Amino acid sequence: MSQVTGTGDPPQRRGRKLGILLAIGFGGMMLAFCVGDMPFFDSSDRIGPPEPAAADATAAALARATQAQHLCYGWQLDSFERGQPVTLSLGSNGGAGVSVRKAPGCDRWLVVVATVHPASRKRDKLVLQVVDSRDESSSTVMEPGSVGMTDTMFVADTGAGILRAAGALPLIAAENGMVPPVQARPDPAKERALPSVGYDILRGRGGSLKVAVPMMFLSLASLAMVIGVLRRRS
Amino acid sequence: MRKRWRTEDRQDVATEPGDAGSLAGEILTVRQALGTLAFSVVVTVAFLVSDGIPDAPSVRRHVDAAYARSPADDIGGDAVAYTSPLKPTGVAAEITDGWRPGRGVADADGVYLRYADDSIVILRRQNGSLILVEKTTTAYPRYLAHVAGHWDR
Repeated sequence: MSQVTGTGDPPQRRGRKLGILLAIGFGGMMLAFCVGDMPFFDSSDRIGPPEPAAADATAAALARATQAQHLCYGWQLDSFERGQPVTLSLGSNGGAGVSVRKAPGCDRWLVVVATVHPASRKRDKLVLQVVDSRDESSSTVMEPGSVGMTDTMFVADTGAGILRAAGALPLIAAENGMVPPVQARPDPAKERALPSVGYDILRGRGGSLKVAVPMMFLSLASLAMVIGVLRRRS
Repeated sequence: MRKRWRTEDRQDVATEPGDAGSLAGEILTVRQALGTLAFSVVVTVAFLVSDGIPDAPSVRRHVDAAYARSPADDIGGDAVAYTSPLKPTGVAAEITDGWRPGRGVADADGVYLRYADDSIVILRRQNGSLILVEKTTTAYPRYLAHVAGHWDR
């Protein structure tokens, strides 16, 4: 019975085993990137309602915008539990927990509705829509990127994500000419240490890494081939 | 007909048929395999540090190539200004489609994107958007009230 990595192996045999390990390693990396798109791999997802204080702050900001623009704003976060649809959070300029449809004095409104499908693949997990009271039967898709987010960022913390989407409604209403623009009047805040956000290039769309890893694999294979040819010629 | 290379000195490896690792085994010794590993590490590290090289692809270069410069709107030496006829959410969608931000938020004034070193702030203007590219170190205190709780979480 031969040893797996015996020190008595000839260099070529040890090299072969190391080569196989390298190939398995790179193959595993590539597989991980593919599997990373599967729902069961998304352990970082946090699908739930926003923190009450954050919801109150957003409701207050929307109330200020409503006062200036005479248009009501709201949010609704829907998901599924055991296959059944559930509303995780809703709120409006009338307050956290108050549907914009029932908020006092709100004949005209704009609401952002997020529907999160926990069991779906990453790219199908989130549907973000803006509904206008003038035509509730139709809705406009909101791209998370248009308000500074990504699907991944939203699903990683749906509570924060829905509030960020709601916070953009006064801007969207003004852009679409529904109401005059309004100045944001955010509350004063204190500076904090900024956490790292990692490498930009690794967050590239579709992952530059998904291109880089196979390229690296190909480079390795090419290099190994060249070395092999040169050795045999010498 | 398959061309034969000189393998007389490597009979121990090349003559084993049906070996799953034959390709790697025929061409790699331990030293060469370690060499390829080192090479891959160098490539990976070069790939990662290219984020900080001025001429490497970056969101800053992307904005410079895609939008019209507006030097009059520069903020001293801190922020480089560009304009676009698109509305802020449209500009943000374009930029984030190619360069995903690490953090981001929008409010009634515009969209605020944070990347590793740079920030892109897209403000609403009469006929489109004003795009300000700035190091995050100076942008964060400038837009603190807008981005607090979002960029720093």
